[in-house]
Amino acid sequence: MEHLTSLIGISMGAVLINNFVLSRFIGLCPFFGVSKKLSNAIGMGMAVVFVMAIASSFTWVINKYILVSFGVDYLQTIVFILVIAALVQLVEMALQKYSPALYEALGIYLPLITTNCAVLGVAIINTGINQLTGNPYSFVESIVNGVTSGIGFMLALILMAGLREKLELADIPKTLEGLPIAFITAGLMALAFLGFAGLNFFKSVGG
Amino acid sequence: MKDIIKLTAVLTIISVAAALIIALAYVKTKGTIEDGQKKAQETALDMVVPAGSVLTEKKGDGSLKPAQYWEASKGDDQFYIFKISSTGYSSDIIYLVSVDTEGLVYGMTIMQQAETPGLGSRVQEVISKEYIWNGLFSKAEKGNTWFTEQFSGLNVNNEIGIDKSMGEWHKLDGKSKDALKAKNSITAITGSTISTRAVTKGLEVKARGYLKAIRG
Amino acid sequence: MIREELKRGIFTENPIFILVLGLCPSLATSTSIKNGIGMGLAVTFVLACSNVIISVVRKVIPDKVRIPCFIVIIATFVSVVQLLMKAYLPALDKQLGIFVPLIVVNCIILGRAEAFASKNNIFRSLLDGIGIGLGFTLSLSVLSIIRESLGSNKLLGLNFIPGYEPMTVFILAPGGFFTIALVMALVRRYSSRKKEA
Repeated sequence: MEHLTSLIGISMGAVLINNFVLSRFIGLCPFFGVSKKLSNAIGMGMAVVFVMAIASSFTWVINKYILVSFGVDYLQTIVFILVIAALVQLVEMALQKYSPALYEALGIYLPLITTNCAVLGVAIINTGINQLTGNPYSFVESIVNGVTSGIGFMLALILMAGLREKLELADIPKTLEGLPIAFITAGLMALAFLGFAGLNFFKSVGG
Repeated sequence: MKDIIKLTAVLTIISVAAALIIALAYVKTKGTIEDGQKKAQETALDMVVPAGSVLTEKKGDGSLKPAQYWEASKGDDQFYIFKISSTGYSSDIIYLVSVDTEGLVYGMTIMQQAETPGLGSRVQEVISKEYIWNGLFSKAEKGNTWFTEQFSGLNVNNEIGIDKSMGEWHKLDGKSKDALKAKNSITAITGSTISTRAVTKGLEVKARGYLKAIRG
Repeated sequence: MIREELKRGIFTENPIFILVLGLCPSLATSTSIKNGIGMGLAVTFVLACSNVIISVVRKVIPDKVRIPCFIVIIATFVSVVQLLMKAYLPALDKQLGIFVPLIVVNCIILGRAEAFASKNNIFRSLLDGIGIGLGFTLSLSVLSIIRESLGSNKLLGLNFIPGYEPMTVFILAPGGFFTIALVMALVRRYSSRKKEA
C-alpha cells in the first residue's frame, strides 16, 4: 500500500507540482525550439517520454550495481551522458526503420534529445532520495519518475505549442515577437502551475 | 568493418583517458572534501552546546536510537545532540538540535537545506542590519539565525505550536516572545508553512523518540 | 584581435540573448548574484578547456563519432569542476545543486565545440571559449541583479532598499521567465535601433 501511494505521489509531483519545465527550469532549450507547431510538439513529447523511461531504468541499474559497488560515483556524469547518447542513437535508428514519417518530422530535434537537460536531470534525481518516503528511489519508483516527468514535459510542451499557434495570428509589438512573448507565456503558465505547490497528500513528515 | 573498429577505438581511447583524468581529480580532492565535511560538522556541534562542554560521539543501532548522536556535559548539565533530517518542501532539511535530559531545547542549527530561495530557505536566514550601501566595504557582523533561535527553551516532549498571527519572531518584543515560549510555540516563516512544519515535526517525532529510547 | 573576440562573445553572439542557448541554468541559477556568477564562471572554465582540447584533437577525430567524442571531453571537464567545487566551494555547490552536472548538456558548450572549436586553431578557440563564457556570465549577472533585488530586496546577500517589501514572484519560476522576456526584448530593441542608425 505504501508503495502505491509513493508511486502516485511521485506521478503527481512530476507532472504538476514539480513540473520539469515550469517549476524546475529543466528542459527549456527544446521547449522553446519545438513548441511552434502542435504536431511536432506531440511527437517530440512522446519521443522524450520514451527516452526518459528507458534512460531512467538503464542509468539506475548502472548506478546501483556498477558505480556505487565499485565506489566510482564521481564517474556518474560521464557514464550517464554516454548511456543517454547511445540510447538516443538507438532510438534514432529504430525510428528510421519503423516510422520514417515521425523520423522526418522530428528532424534535427531527435539527436537533440541527448542534450535535453530533462533526460540527464531525471537520471540524476533518481539516484537521490525520494522525498516522500525518505528512502532512495527504488527501481520501479525511478521508472515511474522518469515516465511521469516526461509526461510533465510533454504536457508543458503541448500547452505551449497550442498557445504559440494562436499567438502567430495575434498582433504583437515588434520587440516582443517570437521569443520574448513565448517567455512571457511560459511565465504565466508557471504562475498558474505554482497553484499546485501546496498539493501533497501522501507526505509523511511535515505538511 | 574496418571503419567501425576505428570509430570504436577512438571513442574508447578518449573515454578511458577521460575516466583517468576524472579519477585523478577525485583522488586529489577527496581529502579536502572530507576535511570540509568534518569541519562543518564540528562547527555546527559547537554552535548548539555551551562553550567548554565535553563532547562524546555515540553510536546507536539506527532504529529507535539514531545511528549517530552526541553527548555533551558541562558541570552538572548534560545534553544530547541529534542530527535530524526532515522532508521539507523541495529538499530534506538537515539540522542539529541539542536537548537536555528533560527534553528542553538548548540550541539548534540548520546544516543543510535546498528549499525555495527567499521562502523556505529563510530557515537559515540571518537578519542582517547591513545594507549594500555600507555593508559592501565594512566587515559584516555575524548575526544569529532567528528561526532556530526561537526554539531554545521549548520542550520536545510536548507539542510545538506554530503561531501565524503574531508575525515573525525577530520583529516581536520581549513580552510576545515570552508568551510564545510559555505556549511552547514558534512563529512560522511567512509563506513557508511546509518548511516550518518540517522542522517542528522532526523535533516532535524524532528528537522525542530518540530521547525516550536513550533515557528510557 | 583579442578585443574583437571578447566583444563578439559578449555582444553580437551573446549566448543567452542572441543565440538563445543555455537557458536551463540561466533561469534556475539567477536567483542570486552569487549563484549566477558562480555558475557563469564554472561554465566559462568548462567551455574554455573543452574548446582548447577539441581544437587540439580536431584533426584526429573521425567525423562520424565527433559528437560522442565532444560529449566525453566536455563531461570530463564538468566532472573535474564538480569535484573542485565540492572541495573548495561546497556552499555554492549545494546552492547550484543538479545544475552543476547539467553543465554537460548545456547547449552552449556543445554548440561552440561543433561550430567553432572543431574548425579553428587553439588560440582562437581559447579566446572564443573565454569570450562566450564571459558573455554568459555577464548575462547571468544582469538577470540575477534584477531578480535578487526585486525578488528578495537584497544584493549579494545584503539589504537593498529600506522598507521595500520584495516581490517574491521574481525569485520563483514565473519571475525568471518574465525577467528574461523583458531583457531579451530590450536587447532586441537596442540592436534593431543600432541597425537602423
